[in-house]
Amino acid sequence: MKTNIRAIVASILFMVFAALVVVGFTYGWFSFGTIYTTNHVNVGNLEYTLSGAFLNDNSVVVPGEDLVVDNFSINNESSVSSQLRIKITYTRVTDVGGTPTPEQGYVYKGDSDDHIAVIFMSTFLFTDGDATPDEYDDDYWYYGDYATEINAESGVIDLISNIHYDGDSTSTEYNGQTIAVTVLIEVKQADNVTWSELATYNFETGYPIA
Amino acid sequence: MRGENKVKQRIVLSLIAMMGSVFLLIFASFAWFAVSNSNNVDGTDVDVVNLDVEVTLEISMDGVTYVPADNIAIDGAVPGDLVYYRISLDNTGNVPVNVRISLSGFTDQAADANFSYDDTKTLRDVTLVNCSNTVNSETITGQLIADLLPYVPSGDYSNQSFDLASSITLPVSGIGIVYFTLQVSGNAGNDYLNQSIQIARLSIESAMSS
Repeated sequence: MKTNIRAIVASILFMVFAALVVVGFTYGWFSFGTIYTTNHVNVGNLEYTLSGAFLNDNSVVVPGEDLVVDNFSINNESSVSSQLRIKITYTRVTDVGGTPTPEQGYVYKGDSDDHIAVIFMSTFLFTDGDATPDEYDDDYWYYGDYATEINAESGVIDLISNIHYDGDSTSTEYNGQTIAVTVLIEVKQADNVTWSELATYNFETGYPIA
Repeated sequence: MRGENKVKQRIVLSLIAMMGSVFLLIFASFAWFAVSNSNNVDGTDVDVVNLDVEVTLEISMDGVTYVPADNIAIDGAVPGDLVYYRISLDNTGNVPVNVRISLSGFTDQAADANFSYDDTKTLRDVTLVNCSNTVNSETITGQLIADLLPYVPSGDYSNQSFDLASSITLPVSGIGIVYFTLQVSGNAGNDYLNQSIQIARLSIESAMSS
C-alpha cells in the first residue's frame, strides 16, 4: 500500500514538473524581442599641440627687446568645440618714495599702467563678460571674446608674437631687479566645465650675469 | 515481491508514456507556431496566437524633430549635452502583450583610442537618464546610470542591466511610445575627456500579457 502511495506521489510530482517545463517552453515561444546593439556614449576630447618659446632664462634684456623668440601658437585637434584664454603676468617695478619696488605677478591688462607691451596675433579681449570687478576670471585675455567657441579640429591658432618691456614706461628702477614674465594658457570644453591649464611659459632674468 | 516488481514496471511504463506525451505536446506546439497564423480544420478557422510588436527607435537633438536611428550613438558630447530618444511600440499581433525595455552590458573605453583617458573615471557616474512612456506612470527622473545599476564590487558592469520600462501592457493594436534621454551631466569636468561608455544592448522584449 505504502509503495503504491509513493508511486502515485512520484507520478504527480513528475507531472507537475512536466507541466512547468511545458509552460516554460510555451512562454518562450510566446515571447518576442528586438535588440539594438553597439550603443555608445562618447565624450569629446581636448587636444592641443603647443609651440613657441621665450628667450633663454637669465638672458640680459633691455627695454624694447622682444622676449619671444618663437611665436606662441597652438594647433587645435580637439574633437569638440572649445574655448581658450591667456593670462600674462610680469614683474612690474615702480619707484615708491625713491625706492625701486618690484611687484611680482602683475597682470597685463593692456592699459596705461602696464610696463610691458604684448602683440597678439589673433583677436583677444580682456573681459570675462560680466560687470563684477576683481574676479579671478577678470585677469584673462579671451580668444575672440569670453563667449567665442573654437570649432573642433580648427587647426593652428596664432597667439603671441611679441612681448617686450616698454621703454616709455620703464626706467632706471629696473636696474638690478629680477624680472619674470609668465604666459598661462587655459582651455576648456565650450560648455559648462571649468577652465584647466594647458601650458605655462616662463621667462626670468636678473641683473646681468657676471 | 512479484507484486512489487509489477508496480515498479507500471510506474516506469507510465513515466515513459508521460515523457512521450510531453515531447509530443512540445513538438506539436512548435509546429503550430512555426507554421502560420491560422489553420484550417475541416473548414473551420482556428486562430493561433500571433505575438508581434513593431518597434521603431528614433533620435532627436531638440526633443521635437525625431529621425530613425539604428542604435544609441552619441559622439563628441560635451558636459550638458542632452540627446533625446523615443521608441514607438505597435502591437500588431492578436494578443495583448507586456513589453520590457532595458539597457545592458556597460563597458568603459577611450572614445578615441589614439588618445589617453582617465580610466579611474566612468561615464556611468555622470550620465543622466530620464524616461517616461505614454502607457503607464513608470518613470526615471534624472538618475545616473551608476545609480540605476546594481553595485558590482569588481567594477565589471558588462553583464549588468537596468530597465527603462519594466512592464508596458499593450492591447491588440495598442500603441505606446517610450521617451528617454541621455545626458552627460553638466558637472562632468575635464576629467571625463575622451571617455566612452559602450552599451551592448538596448532590448525590447515582449511577452503575452497574462
